[in-house]
Amino acid sequence: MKKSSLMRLMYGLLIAGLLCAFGAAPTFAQFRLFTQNREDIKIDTAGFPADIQKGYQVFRVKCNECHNLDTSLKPSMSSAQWAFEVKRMQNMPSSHFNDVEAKSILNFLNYDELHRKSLNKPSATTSAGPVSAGRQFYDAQGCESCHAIGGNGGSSGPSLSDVGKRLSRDQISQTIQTIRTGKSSSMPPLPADTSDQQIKDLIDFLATLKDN
Amino acid sequence: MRKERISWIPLVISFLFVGICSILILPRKSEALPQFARRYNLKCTACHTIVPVLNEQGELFQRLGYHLPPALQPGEVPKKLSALPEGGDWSLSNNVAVAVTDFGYSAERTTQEGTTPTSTSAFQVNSWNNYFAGWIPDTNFFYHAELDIVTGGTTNPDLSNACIGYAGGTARNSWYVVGGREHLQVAQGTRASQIYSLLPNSPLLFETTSPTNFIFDQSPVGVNVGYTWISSSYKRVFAASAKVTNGDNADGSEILGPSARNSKDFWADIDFWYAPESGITFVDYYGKKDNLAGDGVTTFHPTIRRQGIFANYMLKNKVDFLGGYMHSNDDWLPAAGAPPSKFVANDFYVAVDYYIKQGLAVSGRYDELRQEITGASGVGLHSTHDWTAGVNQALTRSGNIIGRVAYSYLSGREPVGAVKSTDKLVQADISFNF
Repeated sequence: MKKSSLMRLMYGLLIAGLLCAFGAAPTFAQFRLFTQNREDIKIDTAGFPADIQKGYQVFRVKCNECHNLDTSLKPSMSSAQWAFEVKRMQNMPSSHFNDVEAKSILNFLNYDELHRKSLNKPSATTSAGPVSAGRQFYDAQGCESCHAIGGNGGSSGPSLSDVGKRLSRDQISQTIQTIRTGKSSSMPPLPADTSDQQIKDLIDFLATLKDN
Repeated sequence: MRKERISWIPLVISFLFVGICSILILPRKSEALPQFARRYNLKCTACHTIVPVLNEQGELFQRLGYHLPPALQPGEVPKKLSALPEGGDWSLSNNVAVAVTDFGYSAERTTQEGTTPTSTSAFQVNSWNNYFAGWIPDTNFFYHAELDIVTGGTTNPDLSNACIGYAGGTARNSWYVVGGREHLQVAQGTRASQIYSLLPNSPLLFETTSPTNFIFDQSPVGVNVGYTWISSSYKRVFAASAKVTNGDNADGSEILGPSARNSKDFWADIDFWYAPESGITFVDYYGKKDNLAGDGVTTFHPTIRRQGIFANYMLKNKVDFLGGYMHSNDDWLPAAGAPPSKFVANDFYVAVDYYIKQGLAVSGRYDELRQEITGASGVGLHSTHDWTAGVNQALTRSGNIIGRVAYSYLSGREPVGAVKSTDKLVQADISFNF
């Protein structure tokens, strides 16, 4: 390659590298699919009771203002956790729904939990082998709606991919106990009938997450 | 003579290099939402009724140091701002928006007394802005930089915002301090007092320059402090802000040469949200400027005063009634040696935004400017009226792409020479927010 072509190549690579560092990367990132523009979950409410269908309509209008419906249709939570979440949403600014509408939304979410999500819950084994009891409990509580592991899950809470590396087992245990007793105002409480074994399984599971 | 052949190899290799680097550098998550929505994985409509108009959550988001306002349940002890969830991890894509743009077609006919009417039509990029705004993780510091590449269809790079702030207190009693260059009117009041509108232009009382060339939409350098109190469930919100900024020239340009003046601008606003999405704002501004007199040659130092009251009421989250009134009282000098006089104005606007459904709204606004130059050089009280109507439709679920069509009719006489002009404008535009 002639010297002038080589110089042009060098200059081009230098400029390209600067563009990547300061502009191209965020530009390209932003032109990837906007997850909030896409809804993967479609549900057919034709067989639902009339009041639940009405609740679904209220849910579609109200909850759609801030986030897409997958955010609520994907995770699986207990009745107490859904009640906590709906109450929390109602007490945020610009929530725009009253107590009657909140009850209607909650009825739909609980019905959907019992009749659609329960059919889709993961089995105790996957193609990769048995799923740990702690992971099953984590899934059943819908933790992935806010937390991500390995890039899968929500982002409104911190990623847990390396929580076993960042926190000691005692620190994880302390955090879970705070959530269990309902003293954490940003986290929904665990069900009242959560057993000590389930707590231990969950802590064991989280302690293994070291982003390897 | 042999023609020199251009080698495309270096260019192709460069583009491949860019592509490979992009794949490696890109964040794992494709939460490709503008700025703050990206950080919290929310739609644009979480903080905007329709971009750019802010809803109450968006108005408070800024006041809380770019923390998402949390649920405030009765009886709950409010968290410190530093303890509020920060959303996603810090990344470039959570802090940078490189294409907040507006592109459209406009057709305009202008008639001015004593001149030949003119008609223009054009496709143009109306605006292109870049933003770098976010937070420093695990601290209460936040920052905001805005680089305007295209403004009003003209390419004119300008760093209109470059500031850093600190917020403290709890979610219910918070305060902030911001230093640097900021828009004078920076979305910190209730909706009717902000320059954001569903229509292509802001209300005339914000957008029209006075004879002293003063306009609210400028970006001086200074310090801005504010306090916010929020009741449980956001039933009532009270806020106050005050600013001291450099004494820029009246049109917002920096004073470049030596000046005998050492003055500052003062701004204060008090805001009260009395019902969901509804509020009232009082504004008081005082500034002292270097300015050219009416002869275009003589420099004088006018004092510029503005007092305003703005209010809106949102009915059932469907119909938004907005209005604003502003009184102006500026020193004015027509020419060297002439007796000083005053520019006095009483301007107002009323508007209605009807949100047919999420992402679709029709809007109408009436603006009136009533202005005069007092004293011997005055030509009497004159007014300008503007009627504007438009339709906005979000073209994506998240609301980051908006289509709009609007029509405005302006007619009136300016207060210096009483020259009458009319302007008819049709605009169709699409805004992209990436």
